[in-house]
Amino acid sequence: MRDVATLRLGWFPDPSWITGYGGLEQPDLPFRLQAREGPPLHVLMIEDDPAIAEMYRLQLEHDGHRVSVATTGELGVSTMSGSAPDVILLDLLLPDRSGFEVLALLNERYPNHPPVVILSNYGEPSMIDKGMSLGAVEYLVKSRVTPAEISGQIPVWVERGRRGRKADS
Amino acid sequence: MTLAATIAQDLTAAAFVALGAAIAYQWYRERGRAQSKLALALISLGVVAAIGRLQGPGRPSAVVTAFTLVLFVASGYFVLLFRDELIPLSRTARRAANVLLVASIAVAVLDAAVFANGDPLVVLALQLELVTAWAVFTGEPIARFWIASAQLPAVQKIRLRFLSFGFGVLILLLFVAVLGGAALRTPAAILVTQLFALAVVPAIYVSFAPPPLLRRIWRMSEENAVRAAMQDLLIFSPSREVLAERAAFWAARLVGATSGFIVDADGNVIASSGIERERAADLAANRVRLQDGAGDIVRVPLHLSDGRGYLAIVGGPYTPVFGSEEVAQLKAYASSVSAGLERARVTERIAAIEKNKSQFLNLASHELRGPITVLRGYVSMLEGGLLGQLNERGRKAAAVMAAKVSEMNELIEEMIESARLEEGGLTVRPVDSDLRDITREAAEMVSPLLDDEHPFVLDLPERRVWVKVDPERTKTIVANLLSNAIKYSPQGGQITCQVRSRAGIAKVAVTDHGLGISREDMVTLFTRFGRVITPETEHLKGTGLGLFLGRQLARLQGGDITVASVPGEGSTFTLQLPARGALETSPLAPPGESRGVDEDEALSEADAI
Repeated sequence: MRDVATLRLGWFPDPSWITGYGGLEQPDLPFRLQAREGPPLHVLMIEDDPAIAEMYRLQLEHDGHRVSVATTGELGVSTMSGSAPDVILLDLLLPDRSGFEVLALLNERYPNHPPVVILSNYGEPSMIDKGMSLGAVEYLVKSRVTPAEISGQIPVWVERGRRGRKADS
Repeated sequence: MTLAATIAQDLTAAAFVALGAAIAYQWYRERGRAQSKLALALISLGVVAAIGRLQGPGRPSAVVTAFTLVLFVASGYFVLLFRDELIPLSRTARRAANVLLVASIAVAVLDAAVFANGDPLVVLALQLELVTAWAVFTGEPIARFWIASAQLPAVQKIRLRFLSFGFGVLILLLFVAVLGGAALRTPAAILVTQLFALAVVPAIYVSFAPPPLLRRIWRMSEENAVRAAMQDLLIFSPSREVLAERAAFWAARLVGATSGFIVDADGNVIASSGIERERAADLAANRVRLQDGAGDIVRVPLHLSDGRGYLAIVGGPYTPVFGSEEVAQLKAYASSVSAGLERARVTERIAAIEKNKSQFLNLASHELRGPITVLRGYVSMLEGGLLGQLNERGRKAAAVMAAKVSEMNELIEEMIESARLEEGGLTVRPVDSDLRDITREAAEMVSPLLDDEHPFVLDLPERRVWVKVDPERTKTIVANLLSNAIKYSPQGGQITCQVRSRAGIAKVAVTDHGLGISREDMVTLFTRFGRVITPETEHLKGTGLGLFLGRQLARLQGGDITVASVPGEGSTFTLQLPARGALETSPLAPPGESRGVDEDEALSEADAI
């Protein structure tokens, strides 16, 4: 499956607004609104913007996932000592520290931490490279993906993380 | 022969007297200048020569002889003092020189007393001491000058070398005269030594006061370097300050001065060469005056956009007198300096504005992404029915909102991309790709825009067209060209997209039969936000970034976008990319195919645009 990020067409104008009548059709996304099977997945969202956190929570819970939100990096890391989530959605711009620092801290304290997906408003190649080199399973620019697209990818990321860990051990 | 020798002796003496007089006159005209010590040395020599010759063969008076000998020693000492001004002596050296001076004056007096009837050996020893002292006083400086001159501008260098040469020959002649004894009293020997002495006179004179013509000739060796520096001023500019420093350096060099500085319209020293910035500022503000012994300052105005500044040249102790020749040269140079500084200022200002603009765009874009995320997310959830079922009108409204949010999102993406491009942060990740695949995918992207009025012809060669490009970005370029073709042919008309490869260049040509572009509008076509607005196009939406980004991205990948258009008939936009060399085999290319990329061209030459 192609990465979600590349499904958006970059700066190419969206056909829908050129013709003025588009947008009625849903984009054809293979993972969208699929009935999910299997046990509910636990998603930890480290995100300080309540509007975004709430929006993602709505979608994720609708799709049957369980969601915890940590509004700072510190809180996010401390959550890990309790019940470990299945996947972590990590913002980069946090009030106390950068998402990269959080990820580095996770790598250090919890070498077997669940897959981390970086969700940021920054899309610079250098930042993407940095995120991926720190071990994130995905780096997404928030404005390029819809909550449904993220929700649909959750099982994929969990699986990817599981395989990664298996390969490590 | 004897007569000839006598005439030669007279002539030499007269030449030295004339030299002393000419130098006295020059020195009088340029009072306060550095060369006073050297002038004193040369005037003294002239006086010595005059007295020596006027005394005649008769019995000389001891007082006059003593005076002559002391003056002779002094002339050497003055040369040392001159050296001290140019290159200061160490304290020990100065003390030793003073001791030698006092001793030599004593010897001179003694010599004068015993000269007439003393033991010839004693006289010889005393004379040898005097000549040696003179040789020490002058020999050390001229050796120093010769070495130091290597670093100096051409004019100064040649002047110092002439001086060294002149005094070197004099030292030699003096030793020969004292030690030569009877052998040198023959008319022939006298004639030869006198001729040598005579040759020294013009050398020393031009060293002291070189005429303009000679200065110009000496400068010629540096002409090329100066011309190159001048060209640098007009073309190359690292920054205004660096440019100004180079200008100050070359201006000083141009006229053989030791230092120079440039003052802007506000009176601030913006650059200096060979002089400390603070000292230049003091000089500019007339807070200090040049020390005695230093040369003078020449100021040449610089006409800058914010007022009048000036280029100042500070003469050193051995800088030639600034004549009209130097001032004319400086003025010509100054106009180049003004132009160069102005150009640098404009360039810097533009760069600053561009940077601000980029930073603003970048920041604004990132800040916009946050709200857009939420809007886009909720609208998509509204449309998807996740927030409750909408009625028909609600669904239509949600669709319009989704379209508008998308529009905004794409605009932001374009702005980020273009800001990144300006900052040089935009990178392409080239991989071996088949341009046909890229084009096919781009055509799929725009297929929703096509309708019955826009029949679409995709003309692809049978063989692969290998290019090494970033496939996503290249696809975006082609898709943008295609969507433009549709957008700017509102009356309909066939859209053709043709892929070809020939002579190492792979091309995607997109042809429409739409509005076309006038020659005047072509200029703005590829500029940032450079939309062509005409009555026919003003209702069409667009940011004016598409072609700008397209061309920049194409160029980043070694290609370009070109356009040919006839207003009212249509346009052809061609994306050119370097094709992978036929000899380069790609792991993706099946054997035998990679070299065949050009062959289709024969078929399509007829309908090539």
